[in-house]
Amino acid sequence: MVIAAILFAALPQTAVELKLKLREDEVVRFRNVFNVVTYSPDKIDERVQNSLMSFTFGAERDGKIAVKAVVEEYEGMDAGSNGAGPAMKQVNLSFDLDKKGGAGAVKHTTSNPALEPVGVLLSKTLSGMNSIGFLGLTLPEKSVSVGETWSRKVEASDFLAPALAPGGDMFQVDGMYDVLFTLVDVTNVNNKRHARISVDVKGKSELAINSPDISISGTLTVASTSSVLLDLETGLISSAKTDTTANLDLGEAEAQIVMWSLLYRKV
Amino acid sequence: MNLASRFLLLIVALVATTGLGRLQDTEPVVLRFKFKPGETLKFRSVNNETMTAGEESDDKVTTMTMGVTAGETKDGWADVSLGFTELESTDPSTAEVFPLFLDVKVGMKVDGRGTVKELTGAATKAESEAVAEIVEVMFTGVMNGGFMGVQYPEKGVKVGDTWTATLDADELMGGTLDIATGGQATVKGKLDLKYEIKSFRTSNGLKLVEIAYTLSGTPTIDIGVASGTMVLKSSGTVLTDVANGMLVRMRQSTTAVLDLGVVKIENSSEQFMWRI
Repeated sequence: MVIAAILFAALPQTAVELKLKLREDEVVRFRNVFNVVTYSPDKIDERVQNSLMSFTFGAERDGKIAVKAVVEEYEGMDAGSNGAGPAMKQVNLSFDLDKKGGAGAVKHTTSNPALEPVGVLLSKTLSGMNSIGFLGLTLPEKSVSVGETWSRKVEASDFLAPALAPGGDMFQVDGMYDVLFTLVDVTNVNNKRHARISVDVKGKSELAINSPDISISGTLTVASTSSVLLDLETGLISSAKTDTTANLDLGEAEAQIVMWSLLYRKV
Repeated sequence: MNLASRFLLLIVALVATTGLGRLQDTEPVVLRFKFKPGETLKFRSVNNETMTAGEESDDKVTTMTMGVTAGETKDGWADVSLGFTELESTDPSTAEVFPLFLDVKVGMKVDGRGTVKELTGAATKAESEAVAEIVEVMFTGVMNGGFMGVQYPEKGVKVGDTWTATLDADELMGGTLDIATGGQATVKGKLDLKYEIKSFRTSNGLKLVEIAYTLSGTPTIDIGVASGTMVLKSSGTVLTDVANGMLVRMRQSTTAVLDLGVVKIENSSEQFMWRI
C-alpha cells in the first residue's frame, strides 16, 4: 500500500481545464450567508445577511453569455436592512459573462420608478461580487495542475463597490488589491469531480469619507481567504467559505472588521 | 468576498454615532436563561459539512429555521418546545426526508443555567414517528452540553473567567452512532468542555456576552465489525443576550476523525446560527 502511494505521488498530475459550461435557459440559485463584526475601541457592531439570488443564463454570442439575475430572498439581522427583500425582488439585473468567469458591468431595470435607488444599489453590489470573477472566482486561461496558481489584480474601488454605492460621492477609495488563485485539489465530492480552489485577496488602499457630518481619511488593509469547491462539470461554484479581516486606520480612530461568509448553490 | 465590502457603511455608522459601547464588566454578571411564557424566538442556522473517506468526499449545506417556544416555569424548570419551520439541504437524499422533520416537536425542561432534562420528540403523523425518535436522540446529544449548547456557571462571571465541564462521550454521540450502525455502537470516554468569557458589550440595542468554547476528547468507539478512536475537536464563539440568556449568534468549527483501522473517516463542519 505504501509503495502504491509513493508510485501514485510520483505520477505526473493531469492538468484540468476549468471553464464555465452553462446551458441556455438554465436557472441556478445561490444562497449567501454573511456575518460581519466591526470592532472599534469602544464600539462593536454586527450584521447578518441571508440572501438567495437566481441567475438565468442566455444564449452564447461572441463568447459571451447574457445572464439575468434576481434577488429572490433577502433578510438582515439588523432592523435597517430587514424588510428590503420585497423591493429587491422587483429589480431585474443583467450582465455578460465569459467562460472564464469574467463579468461585465451589471445593468438594472425595474417597472417601479421608486425602486431606482434599490436598482442602483443592487447593480453595484453584484458588480462588486463579480469584481474578481463571477461570484468571486476567475478561472485560469490554461489548464492547471494541483498546486498551480493564477492571479489578477482588482481596483479597490471596484472590489468595494457594494459599500460605495449607497454613499454616492461620500467615499473615495484608491488602490489595487492582489488576488491569487490556487488549485488545491481535484477530488470526488458528492460523486462528482470537483476542484478545490483557494482565493487569497490582499491589499492596502487609501480611503476618504466626506459627508456633511464626517470628513476623514486613512488606510484600509484587507486580507481575505476563500475555500471554493468548483463543480468541474459546469464550472459553477458548489460552495465557498470566506474569512476576511480588514483593518481601518483613520489616525485617531482604528477599527477591525472580521467577516465570514458561506455561499452555496441551492439545489 | 461577495457582499463582504459592505463593512464600510458600518464604519461610518460607528464613527458617526455614540451610545454603543462595552458594558461595565468589573462586577460579576450572573448569566441565566429566563423564559417568557408564550414567547417564541426564531433561529436560523447554516451548516456546511464535509465527510471524507479515502478519495471520496460528501459535502452538503443544510439550512434550518426553528422556533423555540417557552411554557410555564415550575420549581425552576421551564417547559420549552422546539420545532423546525424551514429546512433545506444541498443533498437531495437529506432534502427528501425533511418534510417529515417539520412534523416533529421536541419538548424538554430547562433550568436557569441551561441544564436540560426530560427531552422528548413527538410527531403528529404516524409516518413521522421514526423521524421523531431520531430527532429526540440527536437533540438529547446536542443538549447534553446545555440548552442550545450553552450551560452557564453557578457564579457570576467577568471577562477572562473560565469554567469547565466534562461530558460523557456516549451521552453526547452514542445515540446518533447507534442510529447510524443499527444499534451496534459502543462509545466510551470523556470530552472536555471549556468556556471563557471574552467580552460584554452592547450591540444592536442588546446587552450581549461573548463566550468562547472548546470541546475536545478522544473516545473509543466500537461498532461491532470494527473498533477504534475518534479524535474530536470543536471550538466556537457564542453570543448570548444577558437579559434572558438566549443565543443571538453562534459560530463553531468541528473536526472529528474516526479511525477504525480498516477505514478512516474525517468529518469537518462549520456551523453558523443566528436569531432572526
